[in-house]
This record gives sequence, structure tokens and C-alpha cells, in this order.
Amino acid sequence: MTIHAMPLVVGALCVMVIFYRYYHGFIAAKVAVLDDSRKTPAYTMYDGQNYFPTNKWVLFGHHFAAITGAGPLIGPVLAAQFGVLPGYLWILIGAVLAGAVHDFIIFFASVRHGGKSLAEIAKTEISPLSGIIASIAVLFILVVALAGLGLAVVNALAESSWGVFTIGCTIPIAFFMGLYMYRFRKGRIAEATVIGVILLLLAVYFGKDIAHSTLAPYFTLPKAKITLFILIYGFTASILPVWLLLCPRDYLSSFMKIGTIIFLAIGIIIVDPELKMPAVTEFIKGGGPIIPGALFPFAFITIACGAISGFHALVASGTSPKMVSKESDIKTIGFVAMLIEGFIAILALIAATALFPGDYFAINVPGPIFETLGLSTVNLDHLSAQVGETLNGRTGGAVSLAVGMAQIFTALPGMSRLMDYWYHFAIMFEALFILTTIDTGTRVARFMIQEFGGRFYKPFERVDHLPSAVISSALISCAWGYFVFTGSISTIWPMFGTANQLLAGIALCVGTTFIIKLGRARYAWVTIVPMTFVMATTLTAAWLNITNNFLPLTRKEGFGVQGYVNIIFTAVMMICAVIIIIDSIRVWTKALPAVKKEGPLSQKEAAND
Amino acid sequence: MRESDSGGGCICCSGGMGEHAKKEPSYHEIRESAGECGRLHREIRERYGEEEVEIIQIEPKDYIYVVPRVIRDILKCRVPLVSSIRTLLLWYPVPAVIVNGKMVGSGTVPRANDIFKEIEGY
Repeated sequence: MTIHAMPLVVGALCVMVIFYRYYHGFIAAKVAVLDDSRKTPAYTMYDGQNYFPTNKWVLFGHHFAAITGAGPLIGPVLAAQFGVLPGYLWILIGAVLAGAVHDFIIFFASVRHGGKSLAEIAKTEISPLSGIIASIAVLFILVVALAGLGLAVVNALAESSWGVFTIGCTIPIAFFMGLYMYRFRKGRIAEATVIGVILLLLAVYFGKDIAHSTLAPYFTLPKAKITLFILIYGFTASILPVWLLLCPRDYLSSFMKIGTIIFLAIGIIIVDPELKMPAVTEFIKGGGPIIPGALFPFAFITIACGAISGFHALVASGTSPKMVSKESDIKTIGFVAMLIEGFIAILALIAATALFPGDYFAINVPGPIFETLGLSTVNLDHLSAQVGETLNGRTGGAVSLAVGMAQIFTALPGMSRLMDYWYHFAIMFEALFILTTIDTGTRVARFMIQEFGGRFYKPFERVDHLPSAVISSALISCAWGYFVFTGSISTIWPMFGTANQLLAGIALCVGTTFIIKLGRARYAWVTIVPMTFVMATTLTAAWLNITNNFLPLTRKEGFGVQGYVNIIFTAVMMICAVIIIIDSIRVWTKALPAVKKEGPLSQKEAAND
Repeated sequence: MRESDSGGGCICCSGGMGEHAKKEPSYHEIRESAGECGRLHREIRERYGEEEVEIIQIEPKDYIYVVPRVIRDILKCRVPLVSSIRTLLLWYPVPAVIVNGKMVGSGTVPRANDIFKEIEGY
């Protein structure tokens, strides 16, 4: 039986619309009881600068741009090892029942808490201990996330002179844009962005000439060197002024992101590719070569951001709640932005599963392991010849996604000869995201380290204190760099998924506490059910990772330290989650009788804030 | 239209700068400009209240939203040809202020009186 993309796309859209209309409508009306007569922080804390009422669609654009990144693109590609169906169903069910509810509840809780962050809400709703634990969890999660995404870029660029040249060019292009829009022609952001996009496309175009020139050896780098360069990049970027690199990159990646995703959606609708991957593969019982473990629980942590993402809680309790003009807007912004992110994850899954299984595994699995699978490639030699690079053993998900995307784009009328350009465009598009994440993530983690260090040595927390900035940036870069150097996608991605889902579980825990304290305990199941599922799958996966993957690693010669570091990281994240759950249950048992007696507690506390 | 002083690099799996942006000293130029826009926003609100005028404060990332909106305002408010061309050619440098389809400040935050004159002259 052949599966085509269109029924999956249409089916997903229908499910999302129905759930938005009925289930999400129910949550907005009965659980949150959104009330437009209540003034939002945009009015109560109005300053016209950070807090100001914003048009619903403008804020929707901001929120969507903030939550969508590389995570929902890479995860589904890796989870394709289990077949089309598991990934498709988890994205769809996860997005409507867990991810969208998670984003909405935290957004709503933050609005009712005057636009406070997740850690601050945890501190207010649960306890100061949970607030500190949430911050520590975020720091650990950031390190693992940066390692997972960094590794995807490293594997995509290794031994690829075209890719290295193109991605290398994005750095001077961003510098140029920064100087252009903040020094040479102040405020001309549109001009700088147009120039930047044109230069990026030229870098993709001329990359081919570089790959065929005498300069090629200078850009053909092994994994170790690329890792080192990305490490240096992350370290430097987190110290440089934001206007020089972070801001221009943010503009570039925002426009590239929206443009490419729309183009991919149109491409899939027009081409309607046949999905070559079976509905389920033999690896659902375990033994998969990409993600080591069975469908349960590993599929649920491999696809993280497309179904539910803890990082969204940071955005939903960041700038969005400060700008929302009325409570009913939270419904559209909180739910729909996540549903679209789930839809993007489905597009990525379609792009990857449009490859023949043999070709898909040949790209995502190291050569010697692929030979043991008993699979043979179908189209890979032709694809390699078309893109002008060896595709075998390019693990990490980024390459197979780029090949899948390029295959769809070249099937469009008039594009058939452009496979190599589309492939490198897709690599550039993914790497642009990921480098922006590395830039921002390293900087945010640096601030957190400085804040923590400031408790022991006051000057350390001053962000303009150069030695502190250098030490904390070096610490954080070395932390994620260590995982990239020593790990493989099979070890890092499950750790990243675990981390991200645990953060989501923590956020759902905070959301449940908020609902109970609002006096709506009878509806707390809307967050308790996804929280229980997410926590159960993630803690199981983390435990299996420790016992089945990391402990055996410690017994392997030369991998002992790596095994123990992975165990410590995973264990710390598990402990953080368990402490917050226990602390929350303690608060719930206390709050339930108190709410019955005295009425809602959350609003009183929020009012006192 | 102005840049945000609290965003930057908001990408899934890094969570964006969020609250941490407040600590970042190198945002100071963007923050100053945002502060100026905030002051203008408050002055307009103080004078006209919430109901009389609609203020949309947006970021350069919202160009896709703002272009049709400016064109709509130009047509709706019947802005004279020269002013329309001026608005369409000069809307993009930030900070920029457009009132009823007419450019009042481009690359700089205008004085509140200039805005009031424009609103009341309409």
C-alpha cells in the first residue's frame, strides 16, 4: 500500500481545526475562563515600551517566530526510523492534547501573574525551591539542546566544502548587516536584511564554484575541526554586542524561516510525494540504528518540539504575556502557534519519509552499522551525484531533511536541474537556525551562570564585567562542546529530548498547580493527563538511557568518563523533575481544602504580586 | 515601528533572550529608541485615551504586516500623492512613525506635538 503526503496533510489540518474549535474552546471557556473585562499586564503595567497592548495578529507573528526553530525539523526526521505512523500520530495527538494546552496554560498563567517568567510563577505557585530547581533545569536543558543541535550542524558540514563555505559566509554577512544597520545606515533594517538575504543566496550559489576550485581543500574539514570552529563561534558570539551578530542573524533567520517553511508547504501540496517509508518499521520493538530503544518511550522524546516543547514555556512566559491586549487573544496565540509548529513537524516528517528506507538509513547511520541492517540503497548514488556530495553516513538528521526538502523542491516545475542548489540552500537554512540558537542559547546560559556565580562573588554577576563574561561563556561553551566532541546523535538527541520534555512536564506541573489554586481542580485533568504521560515517558526514557546506553558505555574502554558525564546530566534532570512533582503534589494537597474553604488562591496571590 | 529591546534570537530550543535581555548592556541603543517610542506611546494615550486612537507598535520583523496596512491607510485616509509616495519610500527606517498613512518621523522619534497636529488635522 502506498501512502501519499496529501491525505496526511489534510487529515492533520482537519484534526487540528476540530480540536481547536471544540477542545481548546472548552479549555479557554471552562478551565481558564478567559475574561476580556480583566485588564492584562499590557494595561495594568503599561509603560509603552515592554508592556503595551498589541494587535492580536502582530503578537501572533512574534510568538510564532519565537517558538519555531530547528527542533521541530530535526526530531521528526530522526523518529522516522520507527516509520511514518508513530511520528505522525505523536505529533498530531501531542500537539493538540499536550503541546498546545501547555503553551496556552503557561501563557495564561503568566498573564494572570503580571507577565512573570516560568521560574517566577513556579516560585509563587509552588515554592521558592521549585523556582530554583526550574532555573537549574533550564540551564542543564540549554546545554544539552545546544549540543544536540550543534552536532546536527557538525555532521551536515563535515567534509562538505560547499556547505562550510556557505555557512562560513553567514558570519561575515551577519557582521556586515550589523554594522550596516547600526552604524553606517542607522535604522535601515529592511535594506540590510534584503542585502543579507541576497548575499546568503549568492553564498549558496558560489559555494558550488568553491567546491570545484583549488580552494576546496581549505573548506573541506573533518568533524573535529568543525566542532572546534562552532565552539569558538558560540563562545565569541555570546560575548560580542548583540547588535553586531545576534540581532542581524535574528532578522535573517526570521525571514528565511517563514519563507522556506511556506515554500515547503506549497511544495508538498503541489508535488504530493509518495512516502516510501513503511507505516511502521521493525525498529518499533527496539534495536533501531538511529535512536537506541523501542517506540515506547523513545519516539516520544525524539520528537520533542513538534508535539510538546518545554522551551515554549519560556517564550509563553516571556514577552508575549506583556503585550497581549485582551485575554481572549491568548486562545488564538497560545493554541494556534503551537498547532502550526506541529504542522511544520509533519512537513519535516513527510520530507524525510519521502526517501526510500534504504537511502534514509544509509544517510542517518554510520557505514559499518548500515551494513549490518540488511538494507540496500535505491536512489542514494543518484542523489549523491545530484547534490555533488557523499551522503552515506551523514548522521544527525539535518542531511536527510535537506535531501528530502531538495527532492520536493526539484519536483516542482522548472526546478529539476537544481537539486544541488536546493540541497545546499536547505543545509544553509537549517544551519542558520541552529547557529542563531547557539548564539542566543550560549548567551542566555552565560547570564544564568553569572547570576549563580554572583551569589558567591558579587562582581561575577555583572554582565559588563569582561572576565566574568569570558569565564562563564567558556564554561558553557566547553560544556556543550564536550557533548558534541564525545557524543553521537544516538546519545545526545535522546538526552536533548529528555531535557526538553522534562521542562514541558515541569511547566505542566506549574500549570496544574495554577488551575487548582484558581479553584478549578475538577478541570485539572487537562494538564494532569499530558503531564503524567510526558513525565512517565520521559522519566522511563531517561532511566532506560542510563541503564541500557550510558552504563554499558562506562564499561567500554576509553568511554568511561563520557558514560559517567551522561549519567550525571540525565540524573540531575530527572531529580529536578521529580523534586518539582513531589513539591507540587504537596502544594496540591494543601491547596485543595483551602480553595474549597476560602475560594481561589492564585488570583489573590497574583493580585498581591 | 521600532526594534524590540527584549527579544533577539528567539529560536525554539534556546528560548530566546526573554527576561535575560534586560541584563544585556549592548542593547542600549535599541533600548533608548524603544524608550523614546514608549514615551511617545504614553503621551498619545494620555491625550486621547484608549478609545479615540488606535496605536500599533511593531517591530521590523512585521514588515509583512505593515506594508498592506500602510497602503490601506493611505487609500482610506486619502493621503495626497506626494505624501503617499513619501510614506511608501520612507516607511522602512526604524524608528518610524506613520499617522493615518502619512509619514511623521523616519529614522527618528518625532515630538508628540507633531503627532497631535497630524491626528487633529485629519
